[in-house]
Amino acid sequence: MATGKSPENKTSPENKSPKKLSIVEVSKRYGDVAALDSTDLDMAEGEFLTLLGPSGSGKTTLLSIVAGLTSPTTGEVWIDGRCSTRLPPFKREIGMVFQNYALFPHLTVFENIAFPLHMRRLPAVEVEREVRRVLDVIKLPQVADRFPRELSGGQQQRIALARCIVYSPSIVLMDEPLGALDKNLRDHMQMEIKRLHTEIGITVLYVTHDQEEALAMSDRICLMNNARIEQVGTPDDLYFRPRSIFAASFLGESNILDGVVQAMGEKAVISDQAGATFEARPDARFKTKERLCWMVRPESLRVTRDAGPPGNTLRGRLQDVVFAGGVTKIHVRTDQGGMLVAKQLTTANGVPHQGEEVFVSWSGEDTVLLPAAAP
Amino acid sequence: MTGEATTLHPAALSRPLSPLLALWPLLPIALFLGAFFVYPVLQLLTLSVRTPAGEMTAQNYLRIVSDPIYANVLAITFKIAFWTTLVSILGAYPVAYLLATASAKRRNSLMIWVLVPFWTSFLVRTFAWMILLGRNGAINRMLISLGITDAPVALIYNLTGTLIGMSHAMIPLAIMTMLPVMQTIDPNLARAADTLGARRGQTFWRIYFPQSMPGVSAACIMVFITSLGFFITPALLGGARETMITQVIITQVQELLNWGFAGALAVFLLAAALLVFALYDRVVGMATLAGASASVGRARPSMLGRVGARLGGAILGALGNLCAAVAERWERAMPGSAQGVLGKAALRLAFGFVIGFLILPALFVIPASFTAGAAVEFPPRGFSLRWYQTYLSSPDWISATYNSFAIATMSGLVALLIGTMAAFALTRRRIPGKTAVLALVLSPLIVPRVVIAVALFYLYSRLELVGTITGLVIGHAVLAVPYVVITVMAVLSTYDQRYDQAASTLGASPLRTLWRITLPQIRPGLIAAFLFAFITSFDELTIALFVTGGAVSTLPRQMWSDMLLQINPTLAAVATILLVVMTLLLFAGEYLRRRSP
Repeated sequence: MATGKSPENKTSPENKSPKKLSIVEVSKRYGDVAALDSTDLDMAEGEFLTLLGPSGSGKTTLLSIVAGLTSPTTGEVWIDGRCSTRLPPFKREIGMVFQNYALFPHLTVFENIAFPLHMRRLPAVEVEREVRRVLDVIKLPQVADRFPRELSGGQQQRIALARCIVYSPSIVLMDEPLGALDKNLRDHMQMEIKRLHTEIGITVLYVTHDQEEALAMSDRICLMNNARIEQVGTPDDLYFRPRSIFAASFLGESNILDGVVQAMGEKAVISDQAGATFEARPDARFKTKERLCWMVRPESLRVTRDAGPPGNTLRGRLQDVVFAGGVTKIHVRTDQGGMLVAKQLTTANGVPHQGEEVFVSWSGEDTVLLPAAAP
Repeated sequence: MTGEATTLHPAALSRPLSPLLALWPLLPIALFLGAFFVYPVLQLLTLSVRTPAGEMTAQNYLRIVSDPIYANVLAITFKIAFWTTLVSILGAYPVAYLLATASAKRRNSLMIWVLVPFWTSFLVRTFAWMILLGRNGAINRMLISLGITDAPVALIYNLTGTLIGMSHAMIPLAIMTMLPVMQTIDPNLARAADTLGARRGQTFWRIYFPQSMPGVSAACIMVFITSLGFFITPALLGGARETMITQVIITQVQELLNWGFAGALAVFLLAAALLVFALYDRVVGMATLAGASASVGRARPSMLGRVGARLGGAILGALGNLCAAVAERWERAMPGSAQGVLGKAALRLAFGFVIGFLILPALFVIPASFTAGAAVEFPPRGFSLRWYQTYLSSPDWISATYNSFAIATMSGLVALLIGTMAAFALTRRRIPGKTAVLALVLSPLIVPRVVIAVALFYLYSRLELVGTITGLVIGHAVLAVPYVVITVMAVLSTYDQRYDQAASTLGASPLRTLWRITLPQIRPGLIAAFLFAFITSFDELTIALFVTGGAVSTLPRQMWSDMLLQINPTLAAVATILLVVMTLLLFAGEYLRRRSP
């Protein structure tokens, strides 16, 4: 079913709608060690997709397979509808921003940015024009004749970006590009990259282990763990609808408890060991009587002195109050012996005191069901 | 088709290339060393067990064993090598210690005092000692004028002269071998020991000295093996009783054309060298030998190796304890503060003394070349440039100079080309048996030069390469290529390969990446490697002695012939020129090496 939008895509696998990047059953093994289990992933034109995960989760392996710096043990990589699995990096029409920027120290900023254009044998006039253009885009037209070592970290970062976007590559790959910057500069560069992404409409495959960075920048996040994809979805999906304990605990904070399914229909009902029942968001993956875990975000919990209206409520004793500026964390030990952490906006009064009896309540909508932890 | 081009790229590391294809940059060096090093040396070994008619025989070996003359020569060779090693290590240790513990900036400025003697021609240095130690030499004149003795003391043509000359030649090598190990010793350990209550002396003997032992043993081995193959110094500074095995080999080939017997002697020499090496490898391990090769893939030690290492560790431990025990006696006798000051002063004094010993001879050669008299004298008689004029107007000297420059340039380029390719492959590929490959590439440094020289002479006599520039270029490239590989590997190991990966993602093919990104960044290192190769060839005598066949001469060859006949001021002029050229090249090379990333 040809969509007719981009005729050069007619060789794309299984003839689906046009994709910028298609990773099909790609895996990488080093001897007995799997750096990446069989993985499938697609990217649409103009998308900002982040590979997020702890170190050793396979995200950098996946990125370097897309770049062609590592060749996969199995599977195929399609870029712009072209099977690129066996293509060396310099034939892939990709751009890559390295963690240390890899700006060539023996070339000036201008020469660095002109390098990919020279490699494509553009006439000198065009090279000059294009380099000036991207230097304007990144707002650093004055540094053209300096050497990389004469620039600050943030400036080097922007030059690395400019060198990457100057030849309009199919996909821009970024390997923890903000890792070397301090917190303030990192926030600023996040905005800058986001601005470039929307202004130029580039497709970005981004690698980071920083969940805030991923949540702030991405259209979609591909969460990775143990050499495989844990969950792919929008930041919203991952935060509010995690599909596993790992996803729930890697992004943001969470209270995770054990339970058993009592009913699964319009609404799900679960019970804990003590027999108390709670409403939860239904999930067709689970059947009645099945053991599972359930999760509530700390900010979904309300801590009150009174029992309040019926619903998901647990009684407990306030263990600790941690004041963290704008928010206050309240640790409650429930009567069943479990520990719950609630997060509230700090107010000048009204927080219960340590040792007081309190009620913790939350809505069934905020209760997410997760597969039980592996025994 | 892109296979060949892609291989130079680091990205190719994990690309499924056929193993043979991945090894192609090693091919030139393998063929070159195979044809002009391994094959001729093996050929020489087979000659030693054949009669001229071609039958197998042990006759040559029986002759060595049965004739007391040769047993004696072997004994002398080992004796001289032993004493040279001892003196060199004792002299080198304080210098290396001071260099290793100095700040990087200070070390760089002091290092040049070791590097200049290290790279100065053995011939020039031996010549200098002939001026200094001779019957009418500077030292005897001084002793007589001070009234210390009436008649000249015999300082030359005996064991004393030989040992002075050889230690002078070997101390820089010992320092250079010890230094990398000493530099890796964490200075914080000494500080930690101080905070734990150890006093200065104890800190040194208990903490520093045991840790420096691998460096010391590496220096021992390098000095000992190099000393085994010496002939210049014992021939010019020693007497008949200081005849070493290499001199006998040279006589057997050059005067008696007795290939089989020379081969057998060469086998003895080679076997002795390899045996010492094997012993060393078992006890200490090869990794400490070169700073550069230490980073190369560490082979898992064999069972025997581990036992050896433990044994070695025990010996070192015992030595350390012994030293600490001696040190404690010393400490009891001395208050701590005085000890520190005294120790520092003693160290500086030792450093100054050794460096003075290394530099001194050159300071006598230069004035001697400007003498107006007809003989080499110190102090020189008047001032003139007549000996430089003699040099410039002598067709022999001028053609030798020209040949030396031409041969050094060409062999330097050959070594640079094949050595750089090999260095790329060795640092960037996962190569099976990398240690073995590295051992082969570095073996021209270990195999005594006379063995290579005699072997090449035999090979060349059949290829009609004797007396040709080509023959000399090849021979010198064999000797120079290990230096190139070591230098370029060291530079490449600090080169960040992400530059190459970045270039590739930006659309540069491997060849263009190499040309526009990698080579420009490592250029200073490459030039330094070339200069070291150049100096190696420029200073080389052993191969030139055999391979020139009297037809083409090089500067060292010409100097050698003149020195054997008679010492004359022209030699002093030539030596001065060599000294200046070498020092300039060396400064250039060092400057570039330090600038490279």
